[in-house]
Amino acid sequence: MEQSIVDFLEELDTNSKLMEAYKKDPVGTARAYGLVDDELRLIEEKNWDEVKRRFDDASKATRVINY
Amino acid sequence: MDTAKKGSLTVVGTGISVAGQMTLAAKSHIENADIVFMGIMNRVGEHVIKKLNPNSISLDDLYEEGKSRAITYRQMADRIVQAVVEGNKVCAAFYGHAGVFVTPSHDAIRRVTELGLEAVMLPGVSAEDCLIADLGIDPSRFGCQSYEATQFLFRDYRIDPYMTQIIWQIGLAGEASLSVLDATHSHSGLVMLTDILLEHYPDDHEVIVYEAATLPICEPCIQKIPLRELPQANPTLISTLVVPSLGLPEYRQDRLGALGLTEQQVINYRHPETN
Repeated sequence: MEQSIVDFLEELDTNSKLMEAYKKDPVGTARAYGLVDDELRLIEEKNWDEVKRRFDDASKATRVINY
Repeated sequence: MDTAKKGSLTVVGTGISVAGQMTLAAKSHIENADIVFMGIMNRVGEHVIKKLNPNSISLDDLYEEGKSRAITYRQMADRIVQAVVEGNKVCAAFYGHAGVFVTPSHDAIRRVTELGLEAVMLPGVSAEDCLIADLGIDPSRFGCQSYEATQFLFRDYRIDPYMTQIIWQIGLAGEASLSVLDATHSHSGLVMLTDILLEHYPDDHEVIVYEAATLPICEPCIQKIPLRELPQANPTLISTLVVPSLGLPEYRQDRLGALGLTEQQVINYRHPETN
């Protein structure tokens, strides 16, 4: 069954066994989890810039105003 | 008897990573709230919260290029307070620790409390906690000075080079308008910050530009450079500068003497092999 990378990232962050498996075999673990081809390719190519572009938005980082 | 439902506010932090640093208590408050407001800069993190409570609303629409963060944060607090006034059990969830480098959380709590309604903040995992873990720095080792770059540049603060310096938001060093959403305005501020640090440290003193990992497949960004090269660093909006200590300062013999102690005694007490 196909799974989204969003769920995969959540699971990786909360499941130490999955993270252990991922560290040993990133692509195999992501494939076994059920990532679709497009998202699996991000892992294969270690395209973290694209992953961050899709999911992180540092422009929304909170900024303290104390000066 | 007053049967009207009274609103309340719980402010929680969700941690720096997408899900794993959220405390059990924060999770429970998110699940049980009537409405959740989210200040999370990560879509995976938002997804996690929406799964816990479908009635979760992002505050991100309030950010705009060219709009002062001061206005944005006031509007965030307005939304949160209004929902409490309407009688809702409100949870405001911010990434990291909701009370660290977050203006609207403190503002909302103050205003709700002034209205005579209940407002609490729960602790969370902040970027500083991640920094300590990733860099292996114990803030108690040398003592620690932790401050925001622009505030430091604008005000008459003092550096103690024997303490670890943790300088936040260097990607916005010297940026006063509060209206930019990128880190391209920091060069002149970084040059000034470097000049100040060079008054206290040698130019080859190794400093660290650090970013915590927000996604579990990414490593934290740890860039070690000599201090003189800091102006050429390209910090992002979430970069933090760590300036390691020059070491422990000398013992104050006068204070030891006044306490009836000698330097050798305290070294022996603490354990001679502990450096």
